[in-house]
Amino acid sequence: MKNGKRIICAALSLAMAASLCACGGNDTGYNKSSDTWTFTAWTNDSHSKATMEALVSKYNEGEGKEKGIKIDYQIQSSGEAVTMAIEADNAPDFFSAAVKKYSEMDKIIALDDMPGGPEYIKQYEGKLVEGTHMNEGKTYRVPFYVTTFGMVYNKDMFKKYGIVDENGEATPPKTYDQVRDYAKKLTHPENQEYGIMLPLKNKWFVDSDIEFVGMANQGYMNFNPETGATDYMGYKPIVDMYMGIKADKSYYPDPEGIDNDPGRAQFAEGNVGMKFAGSYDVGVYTDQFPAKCDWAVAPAPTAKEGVRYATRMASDGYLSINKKSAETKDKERLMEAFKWIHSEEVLTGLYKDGKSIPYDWNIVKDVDLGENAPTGWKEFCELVEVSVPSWRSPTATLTGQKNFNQVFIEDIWTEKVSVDDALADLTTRVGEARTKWLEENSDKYKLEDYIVENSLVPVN
Amino acid sequence: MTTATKSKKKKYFGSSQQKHDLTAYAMISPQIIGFFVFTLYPIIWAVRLAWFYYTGVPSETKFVGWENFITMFTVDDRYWKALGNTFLFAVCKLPIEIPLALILAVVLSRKIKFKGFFRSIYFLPNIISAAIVGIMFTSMFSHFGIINSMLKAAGFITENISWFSEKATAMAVIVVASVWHTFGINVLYFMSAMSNVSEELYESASLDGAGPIRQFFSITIPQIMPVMRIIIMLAINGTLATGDFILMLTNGGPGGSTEVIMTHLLKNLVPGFIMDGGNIGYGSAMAVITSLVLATTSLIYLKLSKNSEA
Repeated sequence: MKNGKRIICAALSLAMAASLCACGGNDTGYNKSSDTWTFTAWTNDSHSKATMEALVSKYNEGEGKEKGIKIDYQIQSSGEAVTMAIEADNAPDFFSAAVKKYSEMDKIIALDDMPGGPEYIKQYEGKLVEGTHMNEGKTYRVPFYVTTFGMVYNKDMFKKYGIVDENGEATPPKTYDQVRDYAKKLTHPENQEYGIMLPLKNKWFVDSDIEFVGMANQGYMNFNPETGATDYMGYKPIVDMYMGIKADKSYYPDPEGIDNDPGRAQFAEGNVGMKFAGSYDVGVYTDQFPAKCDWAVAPAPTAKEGVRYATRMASDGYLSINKKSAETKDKERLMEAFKWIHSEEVLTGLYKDGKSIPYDWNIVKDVDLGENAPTGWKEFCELVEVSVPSWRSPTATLTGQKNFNQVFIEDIWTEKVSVDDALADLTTRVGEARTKWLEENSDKYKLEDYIVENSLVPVN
Repeated sequence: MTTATKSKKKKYFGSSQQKHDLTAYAMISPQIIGFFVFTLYPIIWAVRLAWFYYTGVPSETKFVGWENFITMFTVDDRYWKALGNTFLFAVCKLPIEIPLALILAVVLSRKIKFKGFFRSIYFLPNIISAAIVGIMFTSMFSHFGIINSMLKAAGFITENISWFSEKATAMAVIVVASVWHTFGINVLYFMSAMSNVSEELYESASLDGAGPIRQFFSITIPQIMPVMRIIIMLAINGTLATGDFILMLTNGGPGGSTEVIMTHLLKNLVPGFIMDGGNIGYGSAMAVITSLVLATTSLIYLKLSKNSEA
């Protein structure tokens, strides 16, 4: 009996060990019988999952089948999971990765070193950015989709409180003064209606609601690409606007306790007149928090009507190729799959479904969205024509010091420090940090690398 | 080696005692290996990074000596404000949580109906994730949330309170939510401690005319004091290490006034929370100093409580 128990224990241990070995897996992704390679792609684009899955399925059944390629498209929202997989050499064939870091760690392969890579990269000439798509002259990913930024406004509230044109249509604000004025007119606490939503708990609030949209006022964020100077004073008009709104109390109450999603939910309920937003918010107000009000999109306002520069457009690039996959799998087919994922077919499909705006507006400029386009999609897409990716700037590491987000939330909004003093201090500190970084890396980078002549051209 | 020692060793090896010991070591080995791999190694890795400028990019990594520590002590006044907020939070929370848990434990230690049900109910908040609790209380204490509605209905307020707009009210929300979340485990600890107090002591006290309150202070408290010291120490450590909960509730707001050590650390150490591709080495330096501060706090408490016991 005792021996029997020992034998059972030993057998169970062996079974567990064997199953653990099996978990390690030795799946190359190649199906010999159908001569098909399966390539796995991870993205965190949950907003476009349904559309991409449909496109991938169609490809797998059609063109992919002919070429012996099958794409396994997966959503992986956890950045930590992706990082762990990359560093454990367990990453999929395609993933989104910080180019500089993972090219130096030899985890991703340059497209220059892939079959047909150099010719493929040529179509992106002028659009590839060092640090975003490239590292040390080699290309690791290409532009794919962009995010535009503007303002969403509640047309019902605008009409209710008389902010309309001669045709009775809601008129969005064009200047910061108008934003403040309209917010005041739209605020009626007795009806639980408020002029503007300020989700101050959102850690990206300053980035999206001040820096990106504020770029329309001076043409750059905090680094002047024509002079190479660090300058936060250009944000003074928009920051003054927020302080004026605070003084008027025309914001949704308790903004310090509101994160971006609850803020969006309140706008969708029809309680809020205005909110700064990105093109990703179309999906939010269509699927996540279906808007109960009639809403529209307006370009970001500026200090003076008629004086506008390009607003910031986020354009980060999409996927990189796992170097290990390039070394162990069919390189030609791997590149083919990469090309298809970044193809105009995919970009057009995502655009038509109201999910992503292509990096190159010309790809879809003449595509008819039809009557079923989600509300606000066409307007956000049209903002591409008044947007640019942000200008490159030298790195500024503010170890132990406050960045703009912290300065605004902790010093400016709380009125501990005046707007002028806070922005001047930031200009000095960030400027010094950039100078220091350039001095420490003078063998690789010069200020001249970041200068772009005649870059500050008004868009209207 | 003497003959007796040799004989003793011979008796041990191959004996049932040895088999017993080996079985015991085999059983605890996963825990020990896990400790070395998942706790000790990451600690050593993080401590090492404290002397580096590190963003994750190999070419940007460089040894900076004591620079990170110097920055902490000379530049980053937010760290010290966060440390102050952490102790303020502990001072506000623990005098409410510990007595509350003790009183409930006393009540639940008696022979009352549905004791098991109440024990489960009080422990239930403890099993909910801190992040979920943070979201729940954010919603409850929002401007048009249920708390303001109830206070208005009861006539305590005429206008809704913006709970997250002032430090005092935001801290009050944090304390209430935190006490709700963690008092249950302390109730269980106290009940466990009280179960070891002999009933005969209470019977004798009753015969001598001591009432319930006198019995509580003269018998219950002294008897459970050794365990109570540990419970309070665990509560202090847990409170000082609170981070993700406050991140979800106030994110350190308003204006950084409820930023505590752990939220400040998260924002300087953990990718995803760090902004602007920050210096993880600096976060590691903060983690080192924070560990020393928390360890010192525990040692001071143990020393003081030992002296008071003596």
